[in-house]
Amino acid sequence: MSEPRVVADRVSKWYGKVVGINDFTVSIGPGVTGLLGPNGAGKSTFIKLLVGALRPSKGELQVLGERVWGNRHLLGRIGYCPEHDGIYEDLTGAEFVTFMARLAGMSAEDAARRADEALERLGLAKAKDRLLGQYSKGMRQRAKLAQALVHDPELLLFDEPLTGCDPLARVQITQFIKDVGQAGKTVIVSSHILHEIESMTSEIVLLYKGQVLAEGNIYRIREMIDEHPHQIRIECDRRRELGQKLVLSQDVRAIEFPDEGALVLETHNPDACYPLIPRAALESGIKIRSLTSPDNNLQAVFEYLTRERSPEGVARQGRAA
Amino acid sequence: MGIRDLGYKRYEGALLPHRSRYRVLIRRALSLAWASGLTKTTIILGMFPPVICGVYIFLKHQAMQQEVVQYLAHRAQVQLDDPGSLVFTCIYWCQIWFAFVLSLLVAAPAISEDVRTGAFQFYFARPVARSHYLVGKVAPAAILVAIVTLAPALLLALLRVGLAQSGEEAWRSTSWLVGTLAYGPIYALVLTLPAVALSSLGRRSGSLQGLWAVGFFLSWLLGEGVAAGADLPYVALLSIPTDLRLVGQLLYGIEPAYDLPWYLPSLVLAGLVVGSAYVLVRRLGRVEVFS
Repeated sequence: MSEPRVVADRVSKWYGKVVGINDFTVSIGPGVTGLLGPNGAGKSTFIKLLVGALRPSKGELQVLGERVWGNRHLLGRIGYCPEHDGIYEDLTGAEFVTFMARLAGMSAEDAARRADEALERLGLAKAKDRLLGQYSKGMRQRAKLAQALVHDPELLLFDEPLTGCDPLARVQITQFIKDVGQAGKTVIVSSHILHEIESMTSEIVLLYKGQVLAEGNIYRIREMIDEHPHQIRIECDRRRELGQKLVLSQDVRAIEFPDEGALVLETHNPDACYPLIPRAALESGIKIRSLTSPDNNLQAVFEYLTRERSPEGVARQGRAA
Repeated sequence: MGIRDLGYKRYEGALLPHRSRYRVLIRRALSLAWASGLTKTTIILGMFPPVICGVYIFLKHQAMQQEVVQYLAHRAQVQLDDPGSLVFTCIYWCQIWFAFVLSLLVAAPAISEDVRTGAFQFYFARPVARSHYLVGKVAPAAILVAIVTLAPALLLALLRVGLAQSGEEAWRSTSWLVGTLAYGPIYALVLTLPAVALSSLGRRSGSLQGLWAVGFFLSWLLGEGVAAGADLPYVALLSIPTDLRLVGQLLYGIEPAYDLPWYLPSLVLAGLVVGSAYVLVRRLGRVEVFS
């Protein structure tokens, strides 16, 4: 078995009285690992601890065999794609990625060349000279991924990389993450959507309320999640027309129109539904602005799992046995 | 047809030493500032007063060579050849406005913009130290302020040395050169460090710029107003521009505007600079700057 690249030993992080993560013990090896958990589970906190942005309140954290906090040299071996944008809108895509490469220590020439390669790899070659302020959400995400990768780090941390992306960007980013993992890098991707993580890896760490609930193979959790309906929120124009098309599919359980410009689809089979949406939109010439998945179903599964782990749950299992 | 390999490519090149980050950050901030039309206009407009002063010094020097002008000056008891005060007048009374506008445009939003956009998460996820970042924010603003203060004053002082007719005259003029070299960096630091420190305290650049402007001019008005009106010269020390003026007068060997111990304005300015540096170091050294 290959040596673990990330080792957290009973790590806790508190924001004052609020717990970010609690008694967090995990070991992550090379390849792609998904951090899966509902919003507020501690995924971003864990990633920020890994990139040295936060200092652990308690416990030991080792990344690539070194301690993280205050270790500036280690950061040259890490690539981080944050969840929030925080990018200069008056820079072009190429300037942004080149600047980030320069900060990693590359010469001007190498930085420009690597930035071009990274942007091309992520499908932004044609848009590289446009200002970031003119980029769509999906393009911004790809630019952020490019800057994370540009200096060839050993560990890549992607915090919710598919949030708000259109279907095409999702496919490109998913493929990119898989490729990077296959290239021997250690990649940690966070998401609150099982389907997203599943399309990239089968290795997951389940987080809930700042704790590791389970780690390992995705298929077991998948079975549990399939018992709960999966919701997909689509923001688009002519939403009723799209809804009419989608409801014809046997995989769509229900459709709601919660607010203006959006529809929410409920399914037990997200794998079948995700390709269906862009196809239906394309046929009718409907423009999809974003696809998101509320984590209600995942929340239900986590609550179920935590109930099972609680003293009452253990007693109930004992009685059943 | 050539098929391009878009698979993962490793980086084989070498990495530059950590000190290269200073250069990268300063260049980036300078190019960003230069991209702004307002900054560019301020710098260009800031060149006019020194040019006018230079022409004036030159013409006056030419006139001084004529006996008739010397005779008239002697009769009128006018001290014509006083380029030291002219250099000081130019760097202080004219250039302070341009320097202030630059500090307002470049220094006051330097860090708040990064706080607002959340850019810290990119900077500090790289091998960039807090000191790199700090110098990368202060130095560009100080360089721009120096461009409209130190650089023209230095050229004027050099012009005066160049125009000297005798060794003694050249030696006298050299003292203004030394005064300018000492005054320029103080000027640039006083106008930028407090503004950058202020910008680290919030995320609203407009409000922080307003606060800097109000603090600068209010202290000037109140300090000078009360000092002159109530004959309380010590109150003038509260004014940043007045302290700068008094230090400048000391360095250029000009009679000070207020009868105060010579070291007091220097101490006030040193306190301002050290205090600002302390605020910056504390703010940036704080754990978890981008949580």
